[in-house]
Amino acid sequence: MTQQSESNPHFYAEKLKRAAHLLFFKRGKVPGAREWELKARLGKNYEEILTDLNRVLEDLDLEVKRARDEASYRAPDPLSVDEESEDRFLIRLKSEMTLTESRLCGWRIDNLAALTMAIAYVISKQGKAPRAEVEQDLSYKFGRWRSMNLTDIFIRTGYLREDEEGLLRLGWRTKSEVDLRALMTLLLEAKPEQPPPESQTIGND
Amino acid sequence: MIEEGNARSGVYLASGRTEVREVLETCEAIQKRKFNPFLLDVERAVATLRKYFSRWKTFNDHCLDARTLNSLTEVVRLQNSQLRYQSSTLYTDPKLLSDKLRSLSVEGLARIFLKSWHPIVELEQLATTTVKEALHYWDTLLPFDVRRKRLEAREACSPLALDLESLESMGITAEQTFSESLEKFWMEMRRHAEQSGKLSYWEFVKRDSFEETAARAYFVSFLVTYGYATLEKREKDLFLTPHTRRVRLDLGRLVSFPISLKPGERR
Repeated sequence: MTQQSESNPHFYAEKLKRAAHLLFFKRGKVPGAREWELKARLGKNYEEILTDLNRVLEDLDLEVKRARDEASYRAPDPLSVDEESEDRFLIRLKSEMTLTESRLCGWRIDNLAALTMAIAYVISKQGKAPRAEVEQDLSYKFGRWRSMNLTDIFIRTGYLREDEEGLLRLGWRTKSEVDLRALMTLLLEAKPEQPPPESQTIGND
Repeated sequence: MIEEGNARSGVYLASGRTEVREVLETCEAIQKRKFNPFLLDVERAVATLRKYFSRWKTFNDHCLDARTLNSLTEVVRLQNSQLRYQSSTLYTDPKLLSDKLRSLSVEGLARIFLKSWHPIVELEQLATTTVKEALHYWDTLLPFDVRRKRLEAREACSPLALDLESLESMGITAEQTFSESLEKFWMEMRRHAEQSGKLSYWEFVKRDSFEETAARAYFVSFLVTYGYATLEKREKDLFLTPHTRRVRLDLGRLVSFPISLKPGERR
């Protein structure tokens, strides 16, 4: 009976819809769906369904992204018994967003620039940097008070993660949304536009 | 003779403890990413531990030795991960990168980020609580006729030209930036607290005009929130303790402390 149903194209389309609903609609703090959720709702061949969904989304410039579900943002789930199935599937933009589009999405240009600086700095320090250092680096361009505020925003939105010792690491959102290799390559390739300031802005430690 | 030998041994052990503690502190600083892991000469550090190991007699000394050895292994692990990282394509010299980041304009940085950014698509949906909140809002909202009475237009005054001083007093333009004002205010607070180390909140904040008092209270709240000063409540009095440097705050333990301020009120 199950085999017959699964071979039925209508039944398969239903699964595709269900997968789209699971990935698009945010149910907890973090968007997307975890591997065990997809397995439970779509069946064992969930990966094939996701491949097909990816094909459908391609026309809309979207893609299904598999990201590692870190313990820091994993919601406690007593039903999950399979410790290995901890990957999360998300839907993200496939190509690039323009500056105007990003503004329409509510992003300020200087916030994007600050995020670039913070991520690049943490990467250059092997993925872990003291918060004070990141803030000081940001303060060259954005002033001390704003850099502290921006760091708080990046932590709140999941782009950065702060541990008990005050060290900043890359957050779940950065790992899911940013192509880190491309970012670092582009930054190193970029031609300097202005000489680095000699002194810090007023208000720096 | 024996006493002299004991005294010498005591001095030797004390200097040994200092040396081992220095190694431990360096290791801990490296773990906190304050220094490059390769700045520590691991071989020399191990030789120091070996030199004193047979001399330790007390439990505390053995614990210190074990902690240092443990920290040393962590430093070796960090050296290993740094080598791996340097051989990966993501490796960039922090100083070089920092200079590059500073030399790029804000728009340039944003454009680079957009080229490597693929934001997640997520749809927020209504939950039972938000629906209840919305229903409550509409249930308690006064009818439009009632609200309209409050909004009825009154006689308008003719438009006036505003000079720079008026704009400054309205807060539209400012003589100095917010950072500058805050910095100045922090210095003023430190100057006031120079002798006793702390000062009364109301004595510091209260001024003749309500506007000035409110502005000072606003600046104090910023300094306290960001760890440049501490606000203490002792019975009915409030005290401020300014710090010479920013103090790291445990964000999880921060509490909101509302202070009421009314025009004409005397404290």
